[in-house]
Formats: sequence, structure tokens, C-alpha cells
Amino acid sequence: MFSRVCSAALCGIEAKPVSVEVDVSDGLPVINMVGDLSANVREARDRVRTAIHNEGIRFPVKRITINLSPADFHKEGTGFDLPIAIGMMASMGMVNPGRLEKVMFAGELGLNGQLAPVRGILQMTECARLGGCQTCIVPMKNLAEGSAVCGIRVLGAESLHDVLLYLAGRKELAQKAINIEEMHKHQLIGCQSDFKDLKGQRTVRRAAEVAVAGLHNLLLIGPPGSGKTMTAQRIPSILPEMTPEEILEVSRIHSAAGMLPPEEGLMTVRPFRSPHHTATSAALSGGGKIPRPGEVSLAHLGVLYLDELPEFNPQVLEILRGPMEDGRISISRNFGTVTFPADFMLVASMNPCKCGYFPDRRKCRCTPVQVRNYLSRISQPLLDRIDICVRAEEVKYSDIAGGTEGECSADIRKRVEKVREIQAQRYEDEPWNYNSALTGSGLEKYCPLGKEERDYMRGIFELKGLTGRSYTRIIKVARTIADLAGSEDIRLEHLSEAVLYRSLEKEYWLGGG
Amino acid sequence: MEEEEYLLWLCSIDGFYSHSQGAVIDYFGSAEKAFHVDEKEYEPWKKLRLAWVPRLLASRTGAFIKEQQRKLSRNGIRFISRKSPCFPQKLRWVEDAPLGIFVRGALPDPLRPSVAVVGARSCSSYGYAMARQTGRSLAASGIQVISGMARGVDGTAQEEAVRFEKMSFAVTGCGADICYPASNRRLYDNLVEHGGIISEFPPGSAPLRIHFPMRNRIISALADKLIVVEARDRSGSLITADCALSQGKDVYAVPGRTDDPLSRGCNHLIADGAYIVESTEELVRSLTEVFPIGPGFHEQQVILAPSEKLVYSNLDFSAKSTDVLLQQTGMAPGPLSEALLQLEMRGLVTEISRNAYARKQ
Repeated sequence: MFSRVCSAALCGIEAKPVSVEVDVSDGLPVINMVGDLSANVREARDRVRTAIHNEGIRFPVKRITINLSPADFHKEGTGFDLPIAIGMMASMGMVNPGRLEKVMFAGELGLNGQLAPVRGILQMTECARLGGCQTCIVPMKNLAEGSAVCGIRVLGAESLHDVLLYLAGRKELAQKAINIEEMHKHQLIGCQSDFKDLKGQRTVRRAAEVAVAGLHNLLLIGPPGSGKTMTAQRIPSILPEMTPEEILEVSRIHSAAGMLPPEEGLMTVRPFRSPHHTATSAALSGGGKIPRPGEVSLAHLGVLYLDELPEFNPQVLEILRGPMEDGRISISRNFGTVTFPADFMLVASMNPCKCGYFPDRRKCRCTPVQVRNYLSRISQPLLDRIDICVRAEEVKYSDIAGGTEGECSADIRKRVEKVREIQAQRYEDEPWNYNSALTGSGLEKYCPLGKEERDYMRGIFELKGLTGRSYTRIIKVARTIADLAGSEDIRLEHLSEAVLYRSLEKEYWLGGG
Repeated sequence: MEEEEYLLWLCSIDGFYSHSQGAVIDYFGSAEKAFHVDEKEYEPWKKLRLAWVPRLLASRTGAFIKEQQRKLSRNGIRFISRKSPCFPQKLRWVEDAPLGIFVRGALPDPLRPSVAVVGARSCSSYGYAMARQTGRSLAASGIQVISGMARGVDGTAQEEAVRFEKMSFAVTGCGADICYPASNRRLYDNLVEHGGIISEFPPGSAPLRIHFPMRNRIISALADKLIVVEARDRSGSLITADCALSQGKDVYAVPGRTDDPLSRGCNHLIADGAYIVESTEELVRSLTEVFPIGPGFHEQQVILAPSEKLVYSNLDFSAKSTDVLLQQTGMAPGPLSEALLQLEMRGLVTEISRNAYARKQ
């Protein structure tokens, strides 16, 4: 006898509808699985058989054929256990096929019939809704995540037993009400780190605010223990709040990676990812036979923090260039190409030299050549994409003991949001949204300089040995500073401050004195 | 062949340094004999298995000397042997004096006073500032500055002095045709043009580690006085100071803070009885009293805006970050940066590292 059950397969970060077809017929007692399956899908055979057996149901001595249709793309994951089990029961006549109409199943089975969570429930539920399903049955631990999708009934089950009782009409399954709007309002509560804990550090604070306001990438240079990591961790707290669409977008990626917080079911706080400097290129970009999202995608709409930038393998860092340019990353493997979103703000940190204490000559004995060599480990193309570079200073006792709290993140965020609005209005007719994306013609149009300012910049250009590239970056940052000050024109003080944060250039490192 | 040529031969052998040169001359009586004697005579030397012996024997040809002379003229280098009347008198009577020296540019004027300025390579901004002031005020008062053209104090003092014609001379630890460190290229070119490069090592010699302590004795020998600007505990500058003392020359040291490892060597010299450099003006005055020449040196006055004055008064010779400056001056980042940039344009302040500033004067 033949039966069909709806399910979905995860492909990159998208879900595709899959129907699980089960046929039980006379013949030698074997279970055959077809449909371009990976090993972990095939293993379902043993899990399902044992789980059904432990349910107290005698497994039929029949030939069972299982097909996952469409059979023309590679399927991976353990989420097919539940639909396969249900399909078998239906084929054996133990489930009313009418109850399976417009219901999607996903979940991994334990040998005792317990349901374990699977990756990608969020997009599978969305996929089911688009496919016309009315109900989704998912593992209890995925319930919160699935419930975030509107327009479909999502039920959470603890075990196969519960599902069978439900299908027999003898038990109701759990439901959960998730309101994204509500979660959106409580975003800040989930955020543990606040800028008010950062004592002193006036320069870094201000630079972080400017960087976030104009979505400039940020490089922090400073000795060990100067609060570089602390600053970076606090940057998500001053980024504008996520819109409901953004919450879903970020959650989808984390769902595909199996990294959603279990209680809330959605990512309500902007992600902060800090891969270790031993990370491989696959860890950063995403990889695997069927690629999973890497760090650049997990940091989507949040912050990617690279601590100890010169320690990273230069070839691994080269991967960042693509995503930083167009906000997504395409990964090609032999089965095909997937594209993950990867629109992040890059925050990097490094020591000024190998020992970390330059220019404090009492502690640092690095020669200028050593200092320069240390810096030259970072590729220039990457430095070219970092607009703001600033020095973090060692925390002084007076700052710790002074007890004065810094400004809290919420206040900074208000200013940032205002500047983001200014930019949104200004660039309404342009393909970009932020000051950091300004190029040639846009720069002339939106950042005109007066005569006094031009003369001033000419002096700076020679004094600091700037290049054309670093010059444009100063103008872009000055634009953001002017926006923060609510000024239409870029004035001398805005330019001067931007020079303070100017990007790092290999040619100009040691003034020598 | 002339004796000068035989001496050039002895001075042109790689790794054959002045104490060995002296020993060979003493053994054979003269350079000429050493050139012409039968190879058998060298048996006792061969037994010592010194690295330079085979090289010395192989080079005993007229062609070798011709080649050396060509090399010299191609690079515009003069060879001045100890027998030459041009050889600096001050150097002649030094123990272990070289047989000859290679000179590119000029030699110090023996009738003018000369002072050696030496110090740390990785010096602090204080070191830079003191080296700059010392170099400039000495040269401006007509005192020749002798140093080692190294990074840090040496090069900085010479950079200032070379702006005055024939006032700056470098004694290098490599061939006179080589610019070491390469980052001092501009200084090197200026010295060739407006000063002099002196070396006891033949052209093409690499800047080997053992060369530097050797050239230090020539630095102190060519000078009448020695000034140590900044030196660590076991600094090469202290070797120069030792040479100067054994040659009977006065040593001056620029004092530093007691907790500063970069000044420990200098403070130690002062404790041992070196003259203290109270200020560059005082130094120049005391030197010009000994050598009554020169117009004297005056700093020009600079007029600063109030905000610039505030920022400048908060800076000192060790690096200070903008963070500290923001706190101390109470200024906003924009105006602070503007003041710093103005000061930098006037050459009063320098940005040592990202967001770290120090006084230049």
C-alpha cells in the first residue's frame, strides 16, 4: 500500500518541499531508500524501524520502499525520520491518510521514539506555508522557532507516540504564541553588554559611535588589556534595533546552522561573531558538501569581530573582500552553488607591535622594522575597506576608581538611529544607504568642501603623507561626523576629527619623531 | 708601486681588520715586504688557520690592487693611508688606529672643533628631540658633528647638522659606498654632498655586527668631546664613551628620568663623573668657551593660539594618547585634533604612532 507525507529539505539556508513516499508490498523483508540521499538520511532506516518497534508495534515482514521526491537534488539532515515513520504507519494502515492532508512533518527520532530538534525548522515552516500546508508538526524543542511563522498552525510533539495519538484524534499537541513585534520591543533586555561598563576610553567610544552611525568598518589598535574586545562586544548594543524582517532574516541563517537560542526561538539581538584567529577559510565563508553558513553569514546584520588581526592567515582574510563589497557570499561545491547573505560590520583589533606596547619605549624594544613587519601581515586590500582606525589606550586607575559611568548604549543608539535616518533620506534615490558606501561621483555630490576646508585638507594631505584612497575615507568619515553634529556642511572640526580616525596606511606608520 | 698602493691592498681584504693588519706589518716590517715575500714566509700564519690568510695570499697581485682602485674611483671614494698627510691627526695617535680610511665626501676640518653625538637606535621622542636640538645647535655654532649614521639619535643629530655645509660626518660600520640602514638614504646622500662618510672597511663591506664596536673608536677619536644622548644599560654608545675616555676625551651625557631604561646608561655615566648636559644652550656655551668661534645659537620664538598652547603644554617628550589629551584638556575630539594638526604643521609636535603624540621641541 502506498502513502505520501509532506516534509521539507534544507538547502543552504533555504528549504525545499519534499514529499516522502512510502510503499509497503509483498516481497523479501528489506527497507529500500532512494532519492539522492546522504548517509545521515539513510540512517533513518534503522532509527525509524527501532522507534516503531519500541512503540509496541510489530514491524511487518514486507518489502518497504521509501522515495524522497523530487529525487533530483541531494538531501541531507535527520529531519526526515518523523515523516518516514508516519509514512510507514500510514502504509500499514495504522494512520488515517485523511489526517495527513496538508500537514508537514519534520524531526529526528531517537530509538525510544523521542523527537530531537533539527536545523532549519524556521524556513521549513515558511516553505510549508507557501506549499499550502495548514499544519506543521515539529519537535517540541523547535516549537518556538516554527511558531514565529504566521499563517500556519505549528504543533510541537515530544515523541512519536504523541504524534500517533494526535493523528488518531486522541490527544492535542502543544502550541506556542510568538509575537515578533513583542520580541522586537524587548530587544535591549537580552543585550548583556552595555557601553556604560566601558570606563574612560573617550577616543574609542567616540570612534565606535561614528563607525556605527555611518556603517564604517573599524580597526582598534592598542596594547593588551586596553579594552579592545570589550568595545567590540558592545557595538551590537548601539546598532539600530532590528526590524521584524531583519529578525527573521538573521534567524533563518542561525536556524540553518542550528544555532538559534532555544527559549526565544529567534535571534532578537544583533549577532556578534568573533572567530578565533586559527579559523580556516571554510569556517569563515561557510562550507561542507552542502554548505552551511560560515562566520561571515552568521554575522549578517551584526558584527564580525576579528581579534588579533595580524595573526589570521592572510589567505583566509582575503575571503572577506567579496562579502564586504556586495554583502553576500557565494559558495560553489560540486553539487551546486549557494549564496548566503553576509552583510556585516567588520570590527578588527590588533596590537601595535609584536610585544604590544609600542610606542611606550619603557616596555617596548621593537625596532621600527619589526613594527612595520608586524603591520605588513595584513593585506592592503583589506585595510582599504576599513575606514576608521583608532588607538585604544590602557585603562588608567583614575578611570576605574573614578566610578563615573560612561554613557549608556541606549543613549548612543538614539544618536546613531538619527544619523541613519538622515542617511536614508539623503540616499533615497541612490543604490546605497550609508556614508561608507560613497564613491567618486557620490562623494562630490554629497560631501562638497568649501575653499577653507579644501586648503586645510591640502595641508593635511602633505603633512600625513595621505594617498588618494585614505583621503576619500577621511571625507566619508567627516560626512558621518557632520551628520552626528547635525550639520549640513562638512566643517574644519569635522575634518580634523576624521583625520584622528583616519585609516591605517602601511606607508605611514612610524613618524619616527 | 707606491707604498700607498701596498697599504690599499692591506686595507682592501675582506675580514682582515686593523689589529691583524698591524700584526702583519710588524712581522714583515712593511706592507711592501708582505706583498712581495715568498709564500713560504707565511707558513707560521697559515698554521693559525685564520680566515683572512688564504684571502690575503690570493690577493697579492697587481690586478687586485688595480681592481680596488677602479672600484674606488667608480664610487667616488678616496683612500687615505696613515702615511698620507691628509690622514686625520686625531686618528693617527689612537691605539689600534687603522692603516688607512676610505672617505666619501669630505674629512672633518682639523682646525675646527668637532663633537661626537651618539645614542640609542630605538630612542624615545625625548631622545629624538635632544638629538635634534644638539645636532642643530652644535652645527649652527660651527662645531662639527661626528656620529654613526644609525637610526635614532645618531642619524637624527646628523640630519640636523648636515643642513650646515661640512658640519656633519658619519663613521660607518660598512663600506663607504653602502647606505646602512637603507632608511637613511636621504641622509646618506646629503652627507656625501655636504659632509662626509668615513669607514675603515673597504667598499662593499657588509654592515656586520662586529664592525660597529670597531668603528666606535674612530667616532670618538675624530671628535674632541663626546655627547651621549640616550643609552640603555649595555648600549653600544657606552662602548664609544669608554673609547673616548681611554683616548682622554671629555664625555657629556644628557640626563633622563631615573625610571626610564633608555636613560639608565646616561645617568650611569653622570654618576661615574661624566659632564651633565644641562641644556643645549649651556652645552654650546661651554663648548664655544673652549673653542672660541661661531655666532651662537638662538631658538626662534613661536606664537601659538590659546587652544594650541593648551594642547602643547599638556604634551611632553614621551608619547601621549589622544585619550589622555581629551581628558586633560577637556576639549572635544574635533578641536583637539585641529590643534594637534596645527602644531604638527609647525613642526612642534609629532604623531609617533596612531593617536599618540609627543613634543618635537
